[in-house]
Order: sequence, then C-alpha cells, then structure tokens
Amino acid sequence: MNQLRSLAWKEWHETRAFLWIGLGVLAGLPTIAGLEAMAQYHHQFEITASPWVVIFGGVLAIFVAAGATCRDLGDRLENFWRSRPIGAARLMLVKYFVGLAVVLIACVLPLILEVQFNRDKNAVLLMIWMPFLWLALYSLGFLAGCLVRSTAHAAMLGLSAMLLVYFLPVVLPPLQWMNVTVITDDFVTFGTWPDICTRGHLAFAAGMLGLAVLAIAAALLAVRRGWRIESGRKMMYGAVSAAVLILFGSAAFQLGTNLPILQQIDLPSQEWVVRMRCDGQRGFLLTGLPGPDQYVNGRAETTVQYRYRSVEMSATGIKLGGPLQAFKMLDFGWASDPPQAPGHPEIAYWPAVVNDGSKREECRLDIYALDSGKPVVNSVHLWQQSDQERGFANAIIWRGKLYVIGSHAVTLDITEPLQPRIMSDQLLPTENNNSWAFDGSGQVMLSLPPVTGLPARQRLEALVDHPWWPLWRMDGDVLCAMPASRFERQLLAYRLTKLTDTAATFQKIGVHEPTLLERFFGQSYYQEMRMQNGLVYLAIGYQFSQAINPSVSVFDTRGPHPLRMVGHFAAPGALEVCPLPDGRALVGGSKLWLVGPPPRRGEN
Amino acid sequence: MPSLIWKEWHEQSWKLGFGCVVLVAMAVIGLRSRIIADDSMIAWVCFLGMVLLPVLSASGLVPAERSEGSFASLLALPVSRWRILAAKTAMGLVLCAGPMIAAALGSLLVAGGREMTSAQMLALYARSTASGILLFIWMLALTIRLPNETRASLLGIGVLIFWIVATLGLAYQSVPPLAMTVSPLALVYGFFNDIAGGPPLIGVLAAQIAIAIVSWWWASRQIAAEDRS
Repeated sequence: MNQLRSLAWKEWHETRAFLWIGLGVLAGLPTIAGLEAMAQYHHQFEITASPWVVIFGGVLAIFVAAGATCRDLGDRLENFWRSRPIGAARLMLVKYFVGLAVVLIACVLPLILEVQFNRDKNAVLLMIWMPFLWLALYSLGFLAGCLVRSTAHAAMLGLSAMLLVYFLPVVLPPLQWMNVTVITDDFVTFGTWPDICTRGHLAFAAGMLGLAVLAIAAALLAVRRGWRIESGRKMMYGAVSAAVLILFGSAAFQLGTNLPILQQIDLPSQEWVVRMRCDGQRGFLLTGLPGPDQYVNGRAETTVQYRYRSVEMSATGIKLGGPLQAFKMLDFGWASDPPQAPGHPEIAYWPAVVNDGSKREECRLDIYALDSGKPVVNSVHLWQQSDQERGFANAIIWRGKLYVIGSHAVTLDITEPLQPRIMSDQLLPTENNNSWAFDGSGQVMLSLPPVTGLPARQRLEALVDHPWWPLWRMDGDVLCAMPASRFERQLLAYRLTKLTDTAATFQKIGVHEPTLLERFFGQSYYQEMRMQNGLVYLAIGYQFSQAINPSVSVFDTRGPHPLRMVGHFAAPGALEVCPLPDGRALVGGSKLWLVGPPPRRGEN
Repeated sequence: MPSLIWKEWHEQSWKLGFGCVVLVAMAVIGLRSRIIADDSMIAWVCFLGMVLLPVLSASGLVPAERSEGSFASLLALPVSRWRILAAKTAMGLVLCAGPMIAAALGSLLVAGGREMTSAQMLALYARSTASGILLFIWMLALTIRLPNETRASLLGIGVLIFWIVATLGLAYQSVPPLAMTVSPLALVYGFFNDIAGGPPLIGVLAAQIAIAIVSWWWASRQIAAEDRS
C-alpha cells in the first residue's frame, strides 16, 4: 500500500501542472468571459464552459497521457524502473489512474460550475457522458505513448486517433452509435433538465468504455513485452495527413452538396443574382452587373447596373424573360420581404420611415415596379411621427388590402396596384419593442398590435417580417430566428404555442450552432433565410466578398430533432434562395440553379 | 550528376508521393462532394500546395542531411559543389511541382469546365506552382546553412509569412505597381479573388527569374564557402 501511495504521490507531483493548466483554460477563461458579459450585458453571472470543454477536453486527455507515459519510458528511466521491485503493470496503472483523475477533474469541474450558475442545464448531459469519451481518448493517448515512447510523436499520434474517434462515426454509418454528437447535439428546452439516460447515450458510453479497455490492455501488454514502434518523419507525416484527410472526408460527407441540380441557367459573364422571388409559377430575378467606376470624394467606387427578368416556372423548367434596366431596392432592409401585389410579382410595397433631419419622421409607402426602369414609381404619404417612435413599419397584404403597421395602422386599397388608396388610419398605442425578443430564451411572448379588421394570425405574420436584423421567418406554427448579430452564428426554432388577440407565445424547440467543421468551411455569415414545407433554407456567405464560401444549407424543422441539417448546396455566389411550394428551390448566384428537395433522413 | 539525382530521388521520393496523395485527395474529395464552390476549392488546394510544399522541400534537402551527418560526406565526394546543389534543386522543383501537376490533372478530370473553364483552372494551378517554386528558391537559399530540419522549417515559415505580409504591403495603393514584381506571390496576388491590376505578367516573370538566379547563385556560394572553411 505504501508503494502504491508513493507512486501515486510521484505521479501527482509530475502531472498536477496539467490540472492547473486545464482548469485555467477550461474554467478560468470562461469565467473571465462570464464576468465580462455580466459587466456588459446581463445582471446575472453565467459561465459557458461547455464549448471549451468539448473542444479542448480531448486534447488535454491526449497531452496528459503522452506526458505520463513517455516521461518514464525513456531508455535510462525505463531501465531504472525495471531494476526496482515494482511490477510494470502496477507502475503503469498508477500512472493511468492519476492522469485520468487529472483529466476528469479538469474537464468536469468547469461543467459543474456551468450547471451551478447557468439557467441552461445542457451541461448536465456533457458532465455525465463526456467522461466516457475522455476516458477513451486518454487511453488511446496512453497506448500511443507506450508504443512510440516519444512525447511529441505520441501526442501527434494521439491527436490523429482523436480525429478518428470524432469523425469516423460520421463517415461510417455502422459506427454511428459511437458518434459524439449524440451527446453534444442533444438539445434540451431552456431551463429544464435534459433526458439524461437514453439508449443512444448508453450505447455511446459502452463503445467508449470498450475502446478504453482495449487500449489500456494493449498498452500494458506493450510495456510488459517491450513492444516498441520506431517513429520517424514518414510515420508522423503519414499519421497526421491521414487524419486530416479523414477529417476532410467526413466534412465532405457532412457538408457536400446533396441537392440535385435539375436545371442550370447561365447568366451573362460577371452578372450575379441580387434578389429573387417566385411563388412557384411566376416571379422575378434582379441581377447586378459591375458598371464603370464612379469617383466619389476622389475615391473610385464600382457602380452596379441592375437588370430585371421575369421568371416563369413550368413542368419543363424555368423560363426567363428578357433583361430590362432596373434599380436595386436600396431602401429595403437586409431582411425584409416586402409584400408583392397579388398577380404582379414585379410590384412591391415598401413602407419607408424617413427622417429629414428634424425631430419629425415621415412614414410613406414606396411602390416599386421593378420592370419600369424607375427607382420608385409612386409614393403615398401615410403619417408623421416623432423620431422617438419606432423607426420602421411592417406591411402585409390580406384579402386584397394592404396593411401598414407602425406607430399607426393604415389600411390601403390596392385594387389598382400602382395607385394604392388609403381606406383608414388608426393611431396605435405605444408598443413594447419586440425587436430583440428571440434571443435564445426558452419562452417568448410577442405583443400584437391592435389593428382593426386584421386577425391575430395576420398581425403576427406582419410583425414577423422584420425589415432589419434580427431576421425572423415563419412557416405554419414554426418560427425561425437568427440572433441580432449575424456573427453569432446561431439559428433558433420556436413553436407557436398560444395565440390570443393581444399576444403570441412561442416555445423554443431547437437550436443550430455550426459545428467546428461547418465554421471551418465558411458557415459564418448568414445572408438570407427562407422557410417552406417545414424546411429552412439558409444562404451563407457575404454578398460583397467572394472570399467567404457562399452556399445554401437546408434544415428540417420537423421531427424529434428540429434544425437538423438535411441539405447543402455550394456554388459560386450562391447567396439568394427561393424555395418553391413543390419542394424544389431556386438558388441564385453567378448562375441560376433549380435544385431538387433534400434527401429524406430517417431520424428526422 | 545522374548518381546525385538518383540519390536525391531515393531519399525524397516518399515526400513526392505524400504531397501527391494529400493534394490530389483534397482536390478530388472537395470537388466531387462540392463542399464549397469549385473556384474556392481549387484556390484552397493551390494555397495549401503553395505554402506547404516549399517548406517541406527546402527543409528536407540540405538541413535534414546535415542533421543526419551525411552532408559532410557528400561534400567530400569528388563532385563539384554546384552539381550537388543543382541535383538538390532539381529534386526540390519536382517536389514543388509534381503534386500540383497531379492535383491539376485530378481537378480537370473531376470538375474541368463545370464552374470554371479548364483554362482558368490550369492558369490558377500554373501560377500557384510558379509561386511555390519561387518561394522554394528563397527558402533553399536562406536555410542552406542551418543544422537541422526543424530550424529550417521554422525559417521557411518565417519567409512565407514575410512574403505574405510584404505582398499585402506592396499592394497598397500608394506603392508603385512595379514594386510588386519583387514578391514571389505577385503571380497569384489578386488572381484568387479576381482583383484587377498589378504589374504585367511578363514583368513579374522577368523580375522573379532574375531574383531566383541570384538567390541560387548565392546559395551555391554558401556551399562553396563552407567547403573552403
């Protein structure tokens, strides 16, 4: 017993540095971030350690294992230990358990803090099941150390093995039960406790435990029999590049284009799609073409010439009309989807709130006829307001009438689409600002403006068409939202649970946060979101830069795992998407593509 | 000379295989799965090849041989020093260009004429290969006296970072466009993202060939000086 205690004491003294480093990174940095966030935004302290632990926990396990084994397995020290009256298995087991304890404490303690301080209880799942993954990774690192006996080489081999443990189950369907996303992607409703023990969790734990047992048995055998692998440059290059290729292969498997191209229409050289709408039969396409440089304050700025084309869908495919000179709807908000006149997709209504520099603002309705060659064909004055009131208005067409809702609610007759006529003007009470409602909270209540003659559902739909960021879209009872900043890279799904005359209540049902792989391949900047048939089409990339990968990702809002990615389409400049009612979708970029629906996934 | 080349081939051919497998696999997997748009994917592969291959080649030719202790024996052979350097340079050029050529062929087979024309694709690969070779000459000249591969790799990465930063600086509007011709990255700057302008291709090639000859001559002087000492 004394011998074991001495060995454990020695190991602890040699390994404890990893514990302090681990705690510093996994608990210290999130604590600093939490304090900073508390000072800037919230009043309550919250610590978000789980992303750090998920990403760096495995790396820590590998480093600790490589350090623990190679420290005493060099030529001279190994001879020394063999001369002592200690069994090799006993020495290695002490090393194994002390190192493992360090890894588990460094990784689990930050999660305990997260559960303690945060309202979100997702970390409970990680706390219970992730230790099995760290155990497996630690054991693989231990095995690598026992085989190559060089810290740097063992760490590289261990990290390669880690990539395989993470990504092989993604690539190989028979290993799906060992996929770590069973744990990391298991979303639970905000503020509630997760389902902590399912068959999937148990299978994952069993797999990791089996891997760990095999690895430690092989490691002990290697030390006992003196097995050793001579590691050199070739082996290291090979191991690392093989792991990187597997990683890349799994990324291709996850993020490769799987929306079938049904038709592809070439646009003239250098022309790209700026905006596109289609109801399944008719629509329009607005394209941009770089024009001559214009000098503004001595600086050259590239101008853009806009072109309008009508779109007609038929059983055989898309038919584009001839190009007409057009103007981009520059006043439109990034996120707005202005209502189009019934039967006239080329006519759009945009309620603009204009400040002339005084403390008064004017809300007017601008009417755009995109095929007219004019920026605005007509404007209708709606109301005056102070600059303290809401700086935008929403618009919706219902039963042939156009409703504009802001600090007033104005109803317009659009029998003549280019000459709307005001039918009524109602002053609305000062509303609560709903703009930042969908910020990730579990339950959200939107207060509905009391517009006479417009049912609650239509008032809600008008409210959801938010002209600026954050971006919201609704399909049936499901609303998808992006947070205020496009850089936060989260997509949230809410279900409408209660709709009264004055308020709509939503419950969060899903969240999608891009994985490391998705971020690596450019899914960092959301451009556009559309919903149709229970699917969310998200255009990703930045319209004014070709450097960031433009693509369209499709998420399913139905089934037990809402917002699971089911489709992906990458093509040059693919930043405009328009899903059609029949399941197909139009994607616009440097060409126009008609793509089929995403393949169905069994689990969703 | 053939014996020297055979020796280099024997020692370095695995790196050629490694480079070919990695670059071709990345290009083919990426283009087959259309994980990102074709032009972005090819730009990635070219960038990877352009930065990785020169470092691997330059650090593995002379410094690696020094750390293994065989370089002194090589210098003691009755062969002129410039021939030794020429054989190593030839192998380095093969290491830089071979994987890029293989990746270009793979890309053409998988996605030629799909989103980019084959000519555009080949032009991108050719310019990236040329830039990689020019970077290799810089790294070869600067690392020729270093005692081991690790130091040479670090210096190679330093050279790479220097030229990336310098190229961005040279592209600044107030700098005369002709100054860009000194950068080995001038051949690809702006080509990846369709930025117009920059010095003419002929000017860049002329300046870069001159710089490469001077660098190589300087490297051969280094070896000659080592021999005399």
